[in-house]
Amino acid sequence: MEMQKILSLGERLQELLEKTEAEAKDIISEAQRKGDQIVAQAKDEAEKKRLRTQRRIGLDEYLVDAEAKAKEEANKVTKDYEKRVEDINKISDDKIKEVADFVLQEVLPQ
Amino acid sequence: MSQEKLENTLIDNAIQQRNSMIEEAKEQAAKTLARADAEKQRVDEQSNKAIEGVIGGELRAVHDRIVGSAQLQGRKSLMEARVKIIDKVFERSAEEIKSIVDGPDYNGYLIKLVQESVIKLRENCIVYANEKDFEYLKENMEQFVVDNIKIKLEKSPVDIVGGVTVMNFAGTKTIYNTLDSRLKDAKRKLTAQVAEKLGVI
Repeated sequence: MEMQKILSLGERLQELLEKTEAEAKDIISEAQRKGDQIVAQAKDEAEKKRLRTQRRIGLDEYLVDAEAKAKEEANKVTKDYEKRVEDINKISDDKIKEVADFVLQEVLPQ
Repeated sequence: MSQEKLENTLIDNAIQQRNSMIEEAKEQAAKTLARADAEKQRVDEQSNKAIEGVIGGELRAVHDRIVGSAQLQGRKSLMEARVKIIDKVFERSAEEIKSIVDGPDYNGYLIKLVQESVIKLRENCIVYANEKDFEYLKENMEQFVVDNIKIKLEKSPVDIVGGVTVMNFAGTKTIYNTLDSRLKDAKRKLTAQVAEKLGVI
């Protein structure tokens, strides 16, 4: 009786493991399917882009994008120069006097 | 081992095995998706490169027009700020020269300026000075006498802040040794050094 019980449990557990194996295979297959889909979609998009580019269709969006990026870079350049100008404008009166005295040494006969 | 214990052990083992199988499957799935993402990125990059190959020139032109213009404008503003601060230094020097001319040490400088000019010219000459300096030099001619050189003093027809203009009798050689002209010379020679001292180079 006891032996029978254990055998029955063993069978049920074996069944569970078989189901688990199938489940694991499904997980892997699903991932593979998704992965294949991602790559296929990317290749499809790339091909469409290539054809559109060849026919010079939709290039404006690249140019608009390039313009936006260039404007961003230009802003950085402008800010950098503004900072440098600001630093120059901040030069103290004492410093100006110090350099003016250096000039005077050249102007006045020694 | 009792039957209950045996059953529990069997169940535990089966659960552990199940967990490990699912875990392994998930790991493999994650790797598969990561590989797909990497491949997608590679395809996208390749595609972008191909597009850039076709319209690269136009993209560069857009970049150069916008960024180049910002750089040009920036450089212009920077240059203007530099010129302004350097001018400020020389304006300050000019102000200090004016106060030196009115100060106690000026006459000493004046005599040195005359001596310097006459020695450089090394021939009979006329020394031009402003009215105030003319009076002082007339009273102190012995201080700048150079052997065998005749020196005549004249009031300058043009306005001089300080210093002198010296001309030979023939009028063929002139030495401008006014403080104004020395300041102009200094500006020409020292602008780079001034910029360096201000830290604007």
